[in-house]
Amino acid sequence: MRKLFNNIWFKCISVLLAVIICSGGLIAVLSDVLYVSPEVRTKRALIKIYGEEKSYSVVIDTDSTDDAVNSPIEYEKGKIDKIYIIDKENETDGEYDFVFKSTGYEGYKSGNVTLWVKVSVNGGNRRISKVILENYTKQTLMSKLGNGYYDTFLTDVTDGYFTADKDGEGVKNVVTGATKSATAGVNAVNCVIAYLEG
Amino acid sequence: MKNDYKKIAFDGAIKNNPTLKLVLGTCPTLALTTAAMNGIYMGLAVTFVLICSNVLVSLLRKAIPKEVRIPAFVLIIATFVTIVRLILDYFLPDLNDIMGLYLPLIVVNCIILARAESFASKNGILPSALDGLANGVGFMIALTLMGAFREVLGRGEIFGFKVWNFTLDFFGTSAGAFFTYALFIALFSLIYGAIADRKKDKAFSPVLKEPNGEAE
Repeated sequence: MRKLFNNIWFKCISVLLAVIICSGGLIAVLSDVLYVSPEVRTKRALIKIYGEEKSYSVVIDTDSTDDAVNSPIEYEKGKIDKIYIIDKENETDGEYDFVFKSTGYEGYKSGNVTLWVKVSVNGGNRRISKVILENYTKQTLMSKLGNGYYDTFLTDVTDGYFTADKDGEGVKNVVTGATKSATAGVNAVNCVIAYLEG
Repeated sequence: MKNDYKKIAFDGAIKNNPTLKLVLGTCPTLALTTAAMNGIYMGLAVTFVLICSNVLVSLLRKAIPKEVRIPAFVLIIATFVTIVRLILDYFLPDLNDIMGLYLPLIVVNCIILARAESFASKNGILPSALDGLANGVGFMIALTLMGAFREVLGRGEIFGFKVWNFTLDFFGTSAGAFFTYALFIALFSLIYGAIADRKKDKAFSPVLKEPNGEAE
């Protein structure tokens, strides 16, 4: 037994295990203390879009415990996780906004892009009025895309779908350049258009 | 003792500046120096991780067998980087978004691993903490200066304030980052070399004496 305790490999494994357990414990405690809830993340996104806090009613929210609203809307190339109606109670002259949290698939290296898409409704008109990035996977170049990329989506919903294929016809074209990093973002916005058209 | 601390601080921040002299931590240096503020943010995050990891490595230096010192150091550094990420995500989410991918990459930043291996694992807690602070400040100064240079020339701004309307888009690109880095390394070597030569000349200058014994 004594021989085992004096063995260098036993010491090595013990020290590494001790470091892992202490680090893991510390991170677990801090993760709990510094947890950011989905509601807070939604509030942060709405502040990013509007510059102030807004009241909203939920149409779809996959983080909700209410079964009536917590199912995502799936499409072939993306899904919608959240749909909120903003300030509907203060609505005057038929003006209000939809805010979507939408994820597009099939990006660069099969990555996904999640966007917040604001659609302003004015009577019968529905226009995409703001698009901001929430997060992405595998597409490290997304952070390099400037406002110009997101501004290309600001059109009327009735104008039709977007494409990242430079040879695409009959649809609005968004091509960013050498990589296919635009594809997943385009799919995310197309999900919103599909929901509003459908 | 006081001189030792002075030497540690001077070596870490200036003489062996991790960015401009040792050319370590190149990835965030090239990627994040588009603005001066980014340099300060990244510098602060790296300084925090450097001080904490150096202190812990120094504390555990006799307990960690040398065979597993590198994995142990990486685990310790990764813990502190995760803590920084949690804190930023909770209190400063915008800053967390700006630093994005480069924040978790601090785990494999050569500066932190190099200081843990070459200094903290051989020295006491206080000198190790000071070494972490000095190296972090040196890294922050280098990134902020480079960021300010690229921001002024690339966007005509400094710390977000408009300076002039003249801009050179090249300095906002990756090629501009490499060019700026090379320019700063050359400038640093030139200035530091000139100062060192001057000191050397002073130290070894012969004192000519007149036959009557008076110095010339």
